[in-house]
Amino acid sequence: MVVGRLFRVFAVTAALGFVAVAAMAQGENFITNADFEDDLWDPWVSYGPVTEDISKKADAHTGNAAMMATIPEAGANFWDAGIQYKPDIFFAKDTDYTWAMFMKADVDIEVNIKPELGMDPWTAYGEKRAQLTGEYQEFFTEFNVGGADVVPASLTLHVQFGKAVIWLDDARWYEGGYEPFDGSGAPQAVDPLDKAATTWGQIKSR
Amino acid sequence: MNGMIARLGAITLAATLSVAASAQDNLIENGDFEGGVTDPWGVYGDATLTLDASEVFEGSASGKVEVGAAGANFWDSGLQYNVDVTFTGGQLYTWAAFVKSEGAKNINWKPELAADPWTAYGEQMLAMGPEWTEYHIEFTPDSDVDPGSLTMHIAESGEDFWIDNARWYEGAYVAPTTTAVDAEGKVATAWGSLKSR
Repeated sequence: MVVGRLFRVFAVTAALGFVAVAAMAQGENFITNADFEDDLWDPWVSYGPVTEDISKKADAHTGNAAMMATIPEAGANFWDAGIQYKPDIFFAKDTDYTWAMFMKADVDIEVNIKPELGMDPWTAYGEKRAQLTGEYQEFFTEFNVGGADVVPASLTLHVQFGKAVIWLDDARWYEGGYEPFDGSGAPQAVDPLDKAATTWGQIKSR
Repeated sequence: MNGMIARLGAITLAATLSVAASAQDNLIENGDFEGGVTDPWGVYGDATLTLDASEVFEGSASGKVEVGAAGANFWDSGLQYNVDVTFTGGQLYTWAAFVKSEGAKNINWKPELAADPWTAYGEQMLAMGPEWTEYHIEFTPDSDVDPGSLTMHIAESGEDFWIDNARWYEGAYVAPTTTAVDAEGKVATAWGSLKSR
């Protein structure tokens, strides 16, 4: 009986510990409106010739909506049009970050992923190119801005490589290295009393 | 009689090699850096260009580009070939070069208008490595471009790199061909001579 109770306590503790570790591993998603389920772009913004829209469910990666951006033509340079997440954000010094998102397009086209200083000279951190296709893929960049905070900051996508419709969904920006998307975009706490570890503990205590 | 046919065949083979080599007229001068100077190549930003005889893909020299430090943006320094460069609208071009970098390095290859707004034509960010490798891009400007520039943006990192055997020509990419040789006195001709004896 005592052994069974101890085992149950152990199982609950282990489950809580697992949840805590899992949450720490993926980190808090700093992006609000990461899944566009409110049918809004805000606080995402665009500049240049980008038509802002929200997709129908069929074009969502998960849920019922995704960001939809129409670019009418190639720019003189790819950075002539962009999509940005920059609602008073900053990058803290000496901090590892990951910015990840799912994207697809109606044609094969590049997107330039650029965490940057939100003002001239638009200093780049972890800048990368993504090759979009007709199927959703998760793209990410890991970056660390070094010994000084970056204020203001911007998570910027340069999109004027050519004429295209681009969809974006399930964006994440968090502290730490890349972790695969877990289906929700954020760590989910679980009730340990319903979970496998607890059940196993109950069996063992019988 | 057989000897005459064999010799004729050898000369024809040599002529074929010559045609293959000239199929893509290289519009770049001093693409192999064998001219004893780095001109007409140039750099801007925190970078220097020198001849290097110790790291070559072929011949006796390559161009060594030393990058002082990573820039705030990858275009903050560059290597350019932009003397008397123009692009014809609708014309397919290939720009290729052998490159070797100290370590992993991304270089932005950008055929462009050599004036504001520096319009890009077929630019690509290519990943270089520490082994001599030929990289290339193809591009077709939608209109005439004058002045033009073959620009490599190199400030994504502070890694140095070397460049050799650069080519820019009309048409799609073709792997480098065997260098044309003088038919007289070469293996094919010698073999033809032997066969004719």
